[in-house]
Amino acid sequence: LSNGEHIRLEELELYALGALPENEAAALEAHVAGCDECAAGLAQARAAAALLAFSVNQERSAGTVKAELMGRVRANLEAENRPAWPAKVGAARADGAVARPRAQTGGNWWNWALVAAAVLLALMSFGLSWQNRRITAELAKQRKAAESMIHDREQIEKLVSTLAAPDTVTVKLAGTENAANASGTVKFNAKSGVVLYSADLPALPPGKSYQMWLVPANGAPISAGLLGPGGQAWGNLWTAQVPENVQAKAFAVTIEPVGGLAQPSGPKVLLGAI
Amino acid sequence: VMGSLPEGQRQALECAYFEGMSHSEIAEKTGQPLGTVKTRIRSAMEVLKKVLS
Repeated sequence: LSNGEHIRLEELELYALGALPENEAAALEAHVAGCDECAAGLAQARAAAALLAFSVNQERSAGTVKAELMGRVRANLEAENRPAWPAKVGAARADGAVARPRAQTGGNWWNWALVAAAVLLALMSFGLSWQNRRITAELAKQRKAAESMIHDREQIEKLVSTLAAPDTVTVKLAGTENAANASGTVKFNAKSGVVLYSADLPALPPGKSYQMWLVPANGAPISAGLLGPGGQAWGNLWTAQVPENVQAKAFAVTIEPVGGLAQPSGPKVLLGAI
Repeated sequence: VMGSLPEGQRQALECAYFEGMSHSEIAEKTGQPLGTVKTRIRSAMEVLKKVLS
């Protein structure tokens, strides 16, 4: 079989062609398993043998050939009740062990790979879902902030236009005997009902709040907001919206309970007539 | 390509590759010594490798 140490090329080629008897094939395989040079020679021989398939005219087989072939393979498998792999492969192992079929090993590998992929996908899905919720919450927060900014901008624009409007009146408020040193200024636009004011007032006792009143030409005073908690402030300016087109004759500030009242009940501290 | 091989080489290769016969079976079928069969297959493979690769 061999020429001293290595297997002759023609033997390797015969083996690659499947033309060696089983006993010689087994001896060759045992040698090749431990000889890199002969293994390389065998690989070349196999490559050459593979080319033989292209050495004849290629003809399309009848449609039934594949079905018949697969039927025979199935029948053989069922008869032997084992997975298909060449008998020579099992017999070829020098240590006598039967090689496990690649398909079975590959199947197990694929199963584990699929399980790992499924776990990975589940983790990614969970992560993405969590990230999605976080982004959605952040988006809602940003949207709310944007809406708030838009609202503020509209309010400021309204106030600015009110201050600049030719029909806006300025009312100087003077302190009464209850707060002689107090003072204040009111900007009022009857058409839009916007009231803007600032005041210099003494500190209040606990539980009390200053409340601005529009005193109309006819009827009861109308609340124009609080100068403290519950009121709407822009820095040192306070603002309020009263009904539109009310003819005012004066503005006054009184001391009321925290939160204010519908009608004035406490002492006046500021008063100014239009 | 197979058709271009000398008759003996072609026959030996066909028996080995396409009919799955061992070299001794080929020798028996063709009536040629075993060494001749091996040589013919070796030569045929060389020719095919040159032509096909």
